[in-house]
Amino acid sequence: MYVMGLSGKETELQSVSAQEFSAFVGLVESRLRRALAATWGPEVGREATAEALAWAWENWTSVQSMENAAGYLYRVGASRVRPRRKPIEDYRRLLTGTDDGAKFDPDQRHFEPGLADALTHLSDRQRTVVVLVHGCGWTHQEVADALELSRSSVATHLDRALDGLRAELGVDHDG
Amino acid sequence: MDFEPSWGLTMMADSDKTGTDGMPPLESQIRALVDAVVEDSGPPLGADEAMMRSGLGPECRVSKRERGGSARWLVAAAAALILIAITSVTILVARGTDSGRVATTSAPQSGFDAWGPGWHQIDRSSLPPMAVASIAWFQGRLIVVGGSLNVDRQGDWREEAWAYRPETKTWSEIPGPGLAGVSLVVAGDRLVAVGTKDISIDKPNHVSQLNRWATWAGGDADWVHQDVMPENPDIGRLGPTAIAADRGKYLVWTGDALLDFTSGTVLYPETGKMGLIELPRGVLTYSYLSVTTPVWTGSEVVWPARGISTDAIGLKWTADGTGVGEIPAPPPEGVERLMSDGSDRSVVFSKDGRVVVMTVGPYVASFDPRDDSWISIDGSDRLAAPTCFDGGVTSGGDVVLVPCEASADGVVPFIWRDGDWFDTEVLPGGAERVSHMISRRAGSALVIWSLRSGSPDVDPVDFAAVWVPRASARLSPAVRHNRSQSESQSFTTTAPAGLESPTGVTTTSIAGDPSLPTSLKLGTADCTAALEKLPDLGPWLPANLDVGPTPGTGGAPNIPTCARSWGAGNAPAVHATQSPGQSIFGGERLGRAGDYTWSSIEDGWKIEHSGTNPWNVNLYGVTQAQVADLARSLAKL
Repeated sequence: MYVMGLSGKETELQSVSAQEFSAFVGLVESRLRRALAATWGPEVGREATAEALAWAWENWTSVQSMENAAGYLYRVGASRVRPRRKPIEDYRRLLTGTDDGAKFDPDQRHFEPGLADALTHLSDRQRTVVVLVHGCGWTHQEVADALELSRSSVATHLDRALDGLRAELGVDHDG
Repeated sequence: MDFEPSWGLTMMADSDKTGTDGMPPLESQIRALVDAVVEDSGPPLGADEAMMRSGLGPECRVSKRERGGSARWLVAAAAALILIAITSVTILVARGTDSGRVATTSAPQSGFDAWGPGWHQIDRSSLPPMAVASIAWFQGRLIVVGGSLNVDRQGDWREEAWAYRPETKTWSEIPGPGLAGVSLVVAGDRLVAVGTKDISIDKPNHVSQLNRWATWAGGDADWVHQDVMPENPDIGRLGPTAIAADRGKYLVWTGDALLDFTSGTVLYPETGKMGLIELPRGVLTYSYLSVTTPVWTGSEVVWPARGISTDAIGLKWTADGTGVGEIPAPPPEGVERLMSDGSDRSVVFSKDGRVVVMTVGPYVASFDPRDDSWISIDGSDRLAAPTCFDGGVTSGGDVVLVPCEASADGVVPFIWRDGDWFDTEVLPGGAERVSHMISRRAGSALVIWSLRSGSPDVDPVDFAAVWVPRASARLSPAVRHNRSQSESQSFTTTAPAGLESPTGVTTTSIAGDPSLPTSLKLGTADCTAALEKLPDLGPWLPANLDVGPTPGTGGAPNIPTCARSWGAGNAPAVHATQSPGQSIFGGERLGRAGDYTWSSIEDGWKIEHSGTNPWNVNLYGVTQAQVADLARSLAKL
């Protein structure tokens, strides 16, 4: 990819950057979109991912030096969609099967019918932690870094989230 | 979905108990649910879309959000893609013919970004001294326009206009607007200078043709001098004047018009037309507005305020300044006492159409113009912000807080951007304090520029620094500014601590009509008054808190106080101070004799006394988590 307004040498360097950025997107996009979609729902999550990746390109040199770029970009994406504060209604609508737009047959799901609703009843922080850990496979440390929490706080939020879900779903500890 | 029932059943067998209805464990259900969500989030996003989105710029993205719906976004994206494709062909052709440069689309770095994250000092040593100055980031350069009275030349105004290139770290002189006391504002594709004319040292109180303005398109273009600005004679009732230290705080660009609240004028940089800002009847009653600043929300100009009177209100205008209306006052708690205390202790900025007022305390209130509602956040139990600060609000919505209190290493500014606090590093150059400054966004960076306070003991002379955001997370683990208490040490309590009131405290600072609020003044405290060692600060402080009192120490740096301090051995983070009626920073209003509140922040602990004996003592531990908590609250506004 060539960038306009630059000399030949500069353009060549930008081309290299673009190639490196493309490789980077290939590595982090799936993980990032999964985390953001899990937290905010598919539509907002996709938008947040696109915003985060655009930010990454705008700050590509800085991003290259990050140890956990995906974690940082998660926060960038989350901060970009927060102002809209669109509740994860599409998340609920998609999964609860109570809406005409539901794409999943309730009989084919491998989760409790009320799980999506129960997740929406958690605090933002609890929901974020539980979906990142159990929905996305992030380690406690990765979540702690991304959310600026201590590992112990992550564990606490996680425990409370699971307790809340179990209480709302009426299931015993299955752990 | 990648969930496999057999795996879930295995997990269930290993579990203490199973889920209901033969469902796998809850953790596996969550993963299956997330799989479904992600599946619905569409195909993978590519680097091209990210770069294309970046090239469209934030305005386009915001507009897209306002319009709503992804279909239009796709149309815009497709159009942009086509445009890029066409342009790329053009470039290839241009490169083939070696026909030179064409316009730029996007670049990952520009300006100060290449300097790397953190604070960097901008060398001003090659610039002549300027009594006043204004700065702006315009066309990739930091523009400085200022000047001073040239005493050697019979008091002529000597104008200075310079441009700084971050790439070369060099200053170059540029044509100036030919005005004195200039404030710069970037208005669309033009740089606007609003200033004065014909200031003479022979007539220090006389300023003729006070309000003039000029526009500049940059490059080799000349400044375009516009007509003399009409003045609304009543505008001065609102407080700010054309010779305000940072007149730019009262210049509001709405995207079409530039509203100058120091002259009451509406300027149209593109056409040179001018008009008058409509003022409310009885404008004198709104004089308290000067303690805050007006801000553009994206749909209207809002000037929030809360004066001494509890029912004081703010004002709002349409984008062209022709319609004026009132808005309710912020909630009283926190804001009233601070907003009546001076504009250097409050900052106003716009975020997502809301107006946010932040004062020391910290107290944060957010106003939504759409329904005239206020939301308040009392952060005093979460963050002991600097007890005094100077704030600058940039067009990008950044807030920089430079505390008047320096840590042992120096001044550590706080920056609030995009819903997060950035705890920055110590200012370079040994700056101990920058209380008279202006700040402007420079691309993704932020520039602070000291203005002369007249006291070299207070501010470093000719100081400028640029902050480039860190790539890493916001608040660093090594929290600066003595904010390194661990969570286990944090507490908030209003429990009486059994303190004895120092002799003479209740009378030394009271002046004026006891029935009226009276600001505490420096120098009214009796430093010879007997102070008593705090006998008991409750169970909250370490048992070895027994060093002191040390007369003459404590309080804000560079401010003579008669505070006494107590420390806990070599633990500087645990201090308690006791100041008899002294207006150290944080001193609040006096109500009547024997009924007062003052507070101080000393190394991260805030100690607040109020009322008569026994004093109630509020102690605030400060933790990184508390800072982050407040930041999150801000983000939810």
